[in-house]
Amino acid sequence: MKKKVLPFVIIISAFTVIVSVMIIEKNNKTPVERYLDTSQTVENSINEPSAELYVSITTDDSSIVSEVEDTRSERVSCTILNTTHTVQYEFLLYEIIDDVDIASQMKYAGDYFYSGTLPDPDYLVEYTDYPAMRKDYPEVDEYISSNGEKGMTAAEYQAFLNQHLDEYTTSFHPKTKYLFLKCRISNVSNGSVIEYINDLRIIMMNEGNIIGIPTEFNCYFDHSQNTTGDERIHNYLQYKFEPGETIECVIGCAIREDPRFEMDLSKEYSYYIGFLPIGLDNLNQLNPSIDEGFVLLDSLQKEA
Amino acid sequence: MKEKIVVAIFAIVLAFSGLVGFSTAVNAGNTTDTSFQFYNTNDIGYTEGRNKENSTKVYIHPTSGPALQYTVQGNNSVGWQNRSSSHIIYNGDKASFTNYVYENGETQARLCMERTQTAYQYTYGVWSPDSTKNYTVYY
Repeated sequence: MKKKVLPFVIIISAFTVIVSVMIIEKNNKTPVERYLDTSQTVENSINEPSAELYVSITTDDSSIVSEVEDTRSERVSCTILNTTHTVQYEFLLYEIIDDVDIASQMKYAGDYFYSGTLPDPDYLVEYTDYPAMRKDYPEVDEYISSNGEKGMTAAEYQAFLNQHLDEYTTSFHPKTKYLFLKCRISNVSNGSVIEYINDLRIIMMNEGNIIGIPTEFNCYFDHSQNTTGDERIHNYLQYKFEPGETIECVIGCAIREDPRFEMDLSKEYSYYIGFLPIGLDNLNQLNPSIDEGFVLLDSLQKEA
Repeated sequence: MKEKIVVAIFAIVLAFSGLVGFSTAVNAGNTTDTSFQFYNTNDIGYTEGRNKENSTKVYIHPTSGPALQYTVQGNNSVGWQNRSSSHIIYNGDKASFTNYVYENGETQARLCMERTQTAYQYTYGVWSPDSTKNYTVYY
């Protein structure tokens, strides 16, 4: 009798667990909603300084700014140099693909993504509410504030995380746009050059303000020389140019919404491509809309 | 008969797993390297800020030149703040720096580099703000 009953018990138990998970997931707020509800104060304190931090530099004479902008929209040259002036980037075409379409497109192969596979259109990102954790546990706050010097030992901190981290961690899918840029990259120096493609950045701007933080071109590269093991992890975006070498390639970046910034990818932002100047200490010092070292994405030809 | 029942159980569980569509959260992190250089006649220097996407250790790998003392910094509304202890890393070493950039809600990390000797030489290396594994851990 017991032998006959046991398999049914196992089946019913498995079914119960699965249904319970479904019910729990359905009743939960989305992770973004929970994050917004529980950390509104913290989010405001983060967002307000961010808004101040990323206000663009304005000139005294706005007519000069608009004149420069007009010139930029008519620029034919879409060529910039890297910060050491040894490698030239000529931007040819671009294409933007939304996350919902990235897995079904056939043009950009999974092998050439840094991850080695096509991105999951529904990928999840974890967010840990450290401000709430630190508020609830003053010893943890002291530990983090002191860079691990006070409050508890490293082992105690790790044990704390093992026990409590999940309570403060949520997962959500950030809306993402994948930008693919076809370009011609040339070594213009006299010797060989090791170039890091991910030094190139894309910066979003809206009404003269930088939105979020610059995004690295670290998502896609179809000419990598380092495609396996640790070399892929560390150096996928590295390319060693021989003297006079030129490559035509496609590079890509993932622009994704970040709840820590006021950004909405359904809006029309301006995108600027370039390298952060050497010695840049603060994004307040940067204005890609008037900096000749940056190229406006809309000035490039869009892939048909 | 028992084997058939076990197979059937697994098949049912797998089928329902597909229907529910379990997703795995991924914070892969900003783990690609970029290079840095520091001229050792200067007292102090900094790398560019790079996106910090999770709470993993910062990876630092000096490749040539005099040893430097490194500190990881995070960027907030008042500027760049030290978010790690300071350590000297020698050429060839691969260091995993414990830091608290992400825990402080900061979105960018950079390296602060200080010379340990005056020299008319550059120190070169590579680094990444996040990492997938630990090398020599510095606390």
